[in-house]
Amino acid sequence: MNKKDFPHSSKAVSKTYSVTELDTARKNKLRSAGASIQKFTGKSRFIEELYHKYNGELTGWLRKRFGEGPPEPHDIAHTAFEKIAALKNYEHIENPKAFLFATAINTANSAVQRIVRARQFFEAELQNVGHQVEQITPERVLEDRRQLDVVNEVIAKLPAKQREILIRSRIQGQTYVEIGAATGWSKAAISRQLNTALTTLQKALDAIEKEQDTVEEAGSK
Amino acid sequence: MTADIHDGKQNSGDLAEDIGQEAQAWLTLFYCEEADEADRHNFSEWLQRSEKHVAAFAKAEKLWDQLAFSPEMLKEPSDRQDRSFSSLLNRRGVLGAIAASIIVMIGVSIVFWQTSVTTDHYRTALGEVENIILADGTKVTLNAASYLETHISNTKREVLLRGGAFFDVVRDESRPFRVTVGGTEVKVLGTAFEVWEGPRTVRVSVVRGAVEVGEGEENAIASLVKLTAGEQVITSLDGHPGKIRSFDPKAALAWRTGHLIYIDVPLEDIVADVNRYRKKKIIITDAALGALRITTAFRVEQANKMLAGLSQSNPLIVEEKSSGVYIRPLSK
Repeated sequence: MNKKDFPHSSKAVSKTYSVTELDTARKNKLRSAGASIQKFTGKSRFIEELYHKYNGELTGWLRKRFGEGPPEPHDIAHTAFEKIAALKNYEHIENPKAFLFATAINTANSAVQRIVRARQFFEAELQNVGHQVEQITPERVLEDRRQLDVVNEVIAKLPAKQREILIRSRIQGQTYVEIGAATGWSKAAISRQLNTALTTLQKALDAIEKEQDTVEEAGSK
Repeated sequence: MTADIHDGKQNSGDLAEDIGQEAQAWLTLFYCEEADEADRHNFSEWLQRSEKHVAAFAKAEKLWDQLAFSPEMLKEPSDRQDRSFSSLLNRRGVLGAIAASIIVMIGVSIVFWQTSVTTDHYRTALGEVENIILADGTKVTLNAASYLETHISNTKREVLLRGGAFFDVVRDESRPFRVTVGGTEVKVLGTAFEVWEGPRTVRVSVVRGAVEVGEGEENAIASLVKLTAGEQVITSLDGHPGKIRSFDPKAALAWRTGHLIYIDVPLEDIVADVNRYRKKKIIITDAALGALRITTAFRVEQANKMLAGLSQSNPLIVEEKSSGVYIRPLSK
């Protein structure tokens, strides 16, 4: 097979030259599996694009929220990308950025023993009572688009203090004591505010669930 | 805290709202405060008391998880200086404490052979990943194209490794387990960890337990670094350890099930791994190209496709000859 002459350009090489083009037999086999090459390259490209697009912003945000660590922001981001790369399916992820950040948040919090142990404890207890513990994976969470939108809207409207406490406890993994030390608020007040915020959120979610039930009922008639 | 939950709520336990509040209170207790054995016992009891409690708690947990996906939660933190938080986080992490204290040790003594030493050799072929159980019960997954030599007596457990392996070491305080890879030495008591040898570096990653990584006995001074679960260190070939960092065990050990995952890894390291699974080696002709950082994930048998993909978005050409697959830089 002759080597193709192709123009050298400053841009990265286009697909004029690939391993498969030199091996006719393999090339024919792969042509029929052409779709899978697309898919494979697609995944790699997805991760690469995600990395180039968001690594900087993610690392910067982690640094602002978690400081230098340990664990270091760059390591947390790194681990988050690794986790996403390990997923079997990625095409269904509608909001890759939210997915990525949520993964990074959970990674950062997994350095906090209290949180890790709490998660494991809850999972064990729920399994114990026979509750179908659906793996709360990021993919499943993102499926509930409507709920996520509502959650987001409600948080935007919360009083600043409640939002701050919500962010510190859920995103930064802080205890009431730690939040109190950082903000000067009393532990009782913090606990009250957090619960109020969660109640507000839960009420909003219950409302749309009721809404959906009514719609389904109407639709089935 | 538990007193708060039960205060005056005995009779109103049927109201959905109150149950919801209780569920929330339990959730925040465990996530935002230090819960103890009594709390765990009481939660267990509360959960088992009614299906409604289970449903309410599952709902509360779901909301808690959803919060991490809200863009509103990512907005700028308040301007308040949060010095106390950073110091709390520093105190909490083992990473910080250990990384800050690198122990310097005078050279390790030469291996002392006893009459009752069991010596074994294991070698894997290209593409062959093998599970082995050593004389002391330690389980090893040997990576492809790798070599393992074990010397186990009743006082010592010494292992020589070329290539890569994952170790699940049986705990034995009287016999520390030592792995030597080139100039790097890894010492453990009872633990699960991986050792990976690359063209220019050795990487040690700990899944469970703790290990000490340092320069092997050839060198006069050995600097030791201690790693615990979730930590990883990369050493140069002469055993000098770099910075400790965290890693994702699932991704790092994916090779055990035939997946290879790389985030921002030098091309030469990826090629070194892939060459473990094929006869026709991939050769990078240019040193600078070998240092090119690549992000990719693929099954071992899809290496050719991976290379084809690389050539599309990187300044390189992949050329297959009878003597090997060559990766050349795309010259301008």
